[in-house]
Amino acid sequence: MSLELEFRKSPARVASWSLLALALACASATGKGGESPNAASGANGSSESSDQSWRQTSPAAGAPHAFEYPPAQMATLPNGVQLWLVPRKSGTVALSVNALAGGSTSTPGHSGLAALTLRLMTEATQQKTGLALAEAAEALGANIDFDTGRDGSSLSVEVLPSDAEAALALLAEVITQPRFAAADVERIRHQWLDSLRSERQEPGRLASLAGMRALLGPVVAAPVRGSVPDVAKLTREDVLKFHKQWYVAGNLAVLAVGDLTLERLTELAQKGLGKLPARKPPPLPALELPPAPTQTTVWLVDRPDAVQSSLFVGQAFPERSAVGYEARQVMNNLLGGLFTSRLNLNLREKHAYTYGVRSTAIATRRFGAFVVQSSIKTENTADALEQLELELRGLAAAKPESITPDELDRAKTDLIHQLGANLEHVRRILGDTTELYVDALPIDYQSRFASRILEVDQRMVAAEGARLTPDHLEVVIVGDKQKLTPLLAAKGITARDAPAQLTE
Amino acid sequence: MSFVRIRPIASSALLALLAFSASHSPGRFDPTGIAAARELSREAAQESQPGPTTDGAGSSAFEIPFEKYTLENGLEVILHRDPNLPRVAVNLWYHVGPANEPPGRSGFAHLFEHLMFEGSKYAGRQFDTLIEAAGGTNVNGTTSFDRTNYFETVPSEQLELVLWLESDRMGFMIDALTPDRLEVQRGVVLNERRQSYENRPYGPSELTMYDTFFPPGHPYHGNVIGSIDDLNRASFEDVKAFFDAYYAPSNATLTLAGDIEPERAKQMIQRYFGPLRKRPKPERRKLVTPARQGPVRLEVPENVSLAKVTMAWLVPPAFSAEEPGLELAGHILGSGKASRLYQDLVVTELATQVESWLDDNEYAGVLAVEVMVASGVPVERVERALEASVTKLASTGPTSAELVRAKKGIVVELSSSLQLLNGGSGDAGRAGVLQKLNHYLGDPGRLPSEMQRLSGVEPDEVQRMVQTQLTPAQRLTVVTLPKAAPEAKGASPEKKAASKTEKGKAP
Repeated sequence: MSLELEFRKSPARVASWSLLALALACASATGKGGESPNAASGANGSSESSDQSWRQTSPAAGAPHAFEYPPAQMATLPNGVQLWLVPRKSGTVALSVNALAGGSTSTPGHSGLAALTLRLMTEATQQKTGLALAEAAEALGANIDFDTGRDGSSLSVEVLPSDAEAALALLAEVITQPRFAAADVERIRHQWLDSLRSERQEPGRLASLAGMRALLGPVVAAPVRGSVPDVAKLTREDVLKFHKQWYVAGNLAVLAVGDLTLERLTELAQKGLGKLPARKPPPLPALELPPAPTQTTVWLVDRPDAVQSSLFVGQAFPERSAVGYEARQVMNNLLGGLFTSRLNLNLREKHAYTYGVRSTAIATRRFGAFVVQSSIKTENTADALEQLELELRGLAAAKPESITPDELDRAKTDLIHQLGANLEHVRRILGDTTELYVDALPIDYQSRFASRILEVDQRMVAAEGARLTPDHLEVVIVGDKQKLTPLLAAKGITARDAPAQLTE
Repeated sequence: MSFVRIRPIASSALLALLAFSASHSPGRFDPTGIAAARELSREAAQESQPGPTTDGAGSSAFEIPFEKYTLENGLEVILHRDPNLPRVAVNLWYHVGPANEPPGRSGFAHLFEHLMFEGSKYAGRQFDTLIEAAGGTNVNGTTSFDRTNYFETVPSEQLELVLWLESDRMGFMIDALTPDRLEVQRGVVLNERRQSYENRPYGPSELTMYDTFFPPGHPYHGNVIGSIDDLNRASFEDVKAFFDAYYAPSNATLTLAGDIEPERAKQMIQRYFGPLRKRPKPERRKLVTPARQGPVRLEVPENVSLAKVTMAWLVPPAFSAEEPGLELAGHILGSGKASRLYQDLVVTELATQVESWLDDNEYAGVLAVEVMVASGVPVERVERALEASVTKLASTGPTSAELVRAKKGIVVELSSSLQLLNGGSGDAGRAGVLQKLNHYLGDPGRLPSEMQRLSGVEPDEVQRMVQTQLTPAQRLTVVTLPKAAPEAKGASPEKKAASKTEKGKAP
């Protein structure tokens, strides 16, 4: 049950798999050499009578199967709209239209505008009322999904192959001719505000909304869906202007995964989006990042009677295009990405402070962050912070040889195969393709990912670990202040009340 | 026969991969926390992706080719070959869940599931490290009311490793378990309970709803997670007894889906599972959940900013004759923006979000609609409007266009799900669907006929289901009320917000 979505495996996970064949086979043969370190055997009347000691030998892996992540194909319409396709025989087709118009477009006082605009686009078009548009999508068995991230916004659908043409026409209509009726804007803005307030009642979510702002400042790290005061002031004029400026041919891409050809996709896209004028979007607002904190800062958001503390621990980290991205993902994976990561083995499997802890090395186009999140039993909050800091400190000061070959191998193998597993589903491939476009990656990035990961060694992981700054962290705790204050004080931790700017 | 969960309307996970805000946000934004699945898993799930069909062909037939046979010790095996990707999903179902818990031990089946990762006699305590080193993905164990499952997808050359590990814990988990590991996992599970229910908005309401539908004495009482007291009572002896009674080969079904050579796979299965001692297959409990007597309405105060109304009905069990009509009724009521409730409640500004779901199990099903009440709107008004929508559907039935759309939505979701070798909580994707059909119907091959049942449903059947099943007598309404809403409630959030616009820089 996906209860706390922060605990999904690292969302920034980019993994590919391909030519790694040999290395992986060797990798998995290591670290298990048949020993059975179990002391408790036989104590309680083993369940089987016959001799089963042959089981102590773990089987060797068979010969690895070579595999390639299929490269995307790309074309551009005369007006500049990009087309990306991964052809695939599959039961459905996944389609999206993406704009480089995410949270990073937001100017002070206007957070949430990109996300709200996208939501409003899906409400109604000039030809179709809200109900008619919903019926048209649902007649294809689809909903128009909308999602805004830091760097991009996307409208997407998944339909049967026979409905691909109708689905793309519908997306094009939504992109080019949204209705933005005044009454719709007001209604949806109010519902949006309600949902923002509701979102802030979810303690893990609130911790990360606050933590990111503590880390990167209220403008750069403004919630992509907006702060409550900002969204309260957004107007229909803001929305119209945003749509006009950012949903232009030079800022759009159509992405498709399924049983299609590039010729066919070009034809369909030309029909729906070919008439958009060839314009480019405005420049992004300047990026102003705050200086790193001089010491670790702990912010407390009171949630009386909370039985757990929702924890956010973060620091600034390199942006997506900075050299060493893959090594940073490997470092993150062994520190807090894997189930058997150092953090999870410590906080969950050793101490039972939590149901799980995860770290993420976030990397957007313009900045990054390293973040650890967990929900900790209230009574263990200070202990967990101490252990967490210990693990960060350990990796920050790590010599290359202290990165064990086994953990390094698991971290790399996992990244590679998570990407390989994406090939099971058109939507996951679409997600990978979206990364190509939004992160401005080379078109064969996924095909080459495995070999990049395989190059990562202990020295590179230690070098990325050395970026950790355990003495300069931003920490947010959402929990029961009355119980937490003495617990934190006992460990010499001073916590300050989080100001409204972090939580609104 | 709900193979696919009804998805909330504003769902998309795509860009969650892209940027930090989104990567911290639920990829699928769901401020209600409504996203409901009754399973618990040992590890918080990775985002499950929608997924379908065996390489394109025959998506309308929904045929998943398979072979089923039984080992001498009673272990059922289902094999599905698809060589398109060099990966194989292993999904092992034990036909045991909270349905089999002894009195006073609610939550035990799920606690036991956690213990299955604590090691086994010959393989030792290295399950997770070995699976990760082998390139395992979608690795988890989950517990729902009727069954417990364990699954992982690995590169096909690693199949033998998985069979070795799974057979070792099936036969010899109990030999390796130590009291201190039980204590650690008890602590983890109690934290799972806190995170998933006690400290999660609307979580306490959900527990209340299930405990009301299934009162003390019913095997589903206590929900899958169980009560704190019962979890604290679970002893080492309980673990041993449960293992002996229910973790027998004869009470399990192993499914492989993906790139296998069937003859080679059979040899390996025989090698690792064949020697496990034959033990009696436990009887399944005979039970009819009594019909409810009249409507019940409960209020649960919580730390939330928005009230929520969940209207739920006790309905017939999984794969009942009624289920296709009920599933479609649920869709028509609350799935998508063209649905009745979205149009009647959200467009009219009474609510901010609606959703419907069907939780189908062996001893009863629950069909529910959930409504987030817009701020400033009296809850009672929303309840009346919700009842009126249901009453209207009962009196006039769906239009044929509505029914066509609902069926199409299910077809697309299933086509999506079947792309995955294994999916969801091990009950979606190809391995999961084969297992689910086998568990409830004893026949993994029933997907085409089940889909035929669904596609044959006429508007009057949906209407009849609403009339006879979604009745006041079977209805339970749980209203979550904001305990004390410090700022969210009340008149002009705009004004309040405006005063903060010149806020200083964050520290």
